[in-house]
Amino acid sequence: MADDGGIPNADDAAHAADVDMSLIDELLALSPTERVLRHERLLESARLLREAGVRHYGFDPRVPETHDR
Amino acid sequence: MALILEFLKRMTDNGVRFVLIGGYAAIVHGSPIGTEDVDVCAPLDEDNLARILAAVADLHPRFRMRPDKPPVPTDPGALKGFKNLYLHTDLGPMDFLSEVTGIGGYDEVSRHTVGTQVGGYPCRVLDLDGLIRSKRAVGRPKDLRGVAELEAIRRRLEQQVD
Repeated sequence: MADDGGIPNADDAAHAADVDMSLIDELLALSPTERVLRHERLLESARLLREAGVRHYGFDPRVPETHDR
Repeated sequence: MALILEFLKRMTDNGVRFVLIGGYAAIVHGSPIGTEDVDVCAPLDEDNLARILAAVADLHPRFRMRPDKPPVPTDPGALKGFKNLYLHTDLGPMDFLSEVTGIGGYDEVSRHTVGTQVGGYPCRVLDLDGLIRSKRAVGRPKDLRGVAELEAIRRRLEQQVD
């Protein structure tokens, strides 16, 4: 719902832009260092998942041209 | 050690002048964005180039954007005139940009920073308004998505102040 004066509040505007405000609120509750380290943990998880994908397919599915090598 | 902390340690230890921009700057401000490279704005004069090269010397730096990915020379004079350095290193990709789209060169970027500590390392970070301005100016779909998230963060912070 809009604030007085018709200015959309953060949640309305975020919803309109398809932004996950609950995730942003979770991150804003952390310190800058905690935010960065959380990202680094996710990055390491992504790396492990990509390695698993390469093992499964036998090539990097992000780079299909490597399939024939 | 995490990529960003190792990066900040190396830059701090070598006295590199830089401002954290791009995805990691957005993360510092609370964005849920994911990124795999460290982007900074840095003056690419001979003194700062020498410091950058010293900071990455043992990381086998290579020019990431060139097809043959040649090693980066150790002589800063050989990089004279470069506007950007896109490096592949043993730690990960690192981009040193002398200008930020929508803002300007290092001196102008320096006027739009917040000081913080990340993992105990002092760090100047492009401020929220500067990030929004630069991402809007670049204008790719992923940047505009980032703008929506950063504007949501700004509105939330404004609500918390009110």
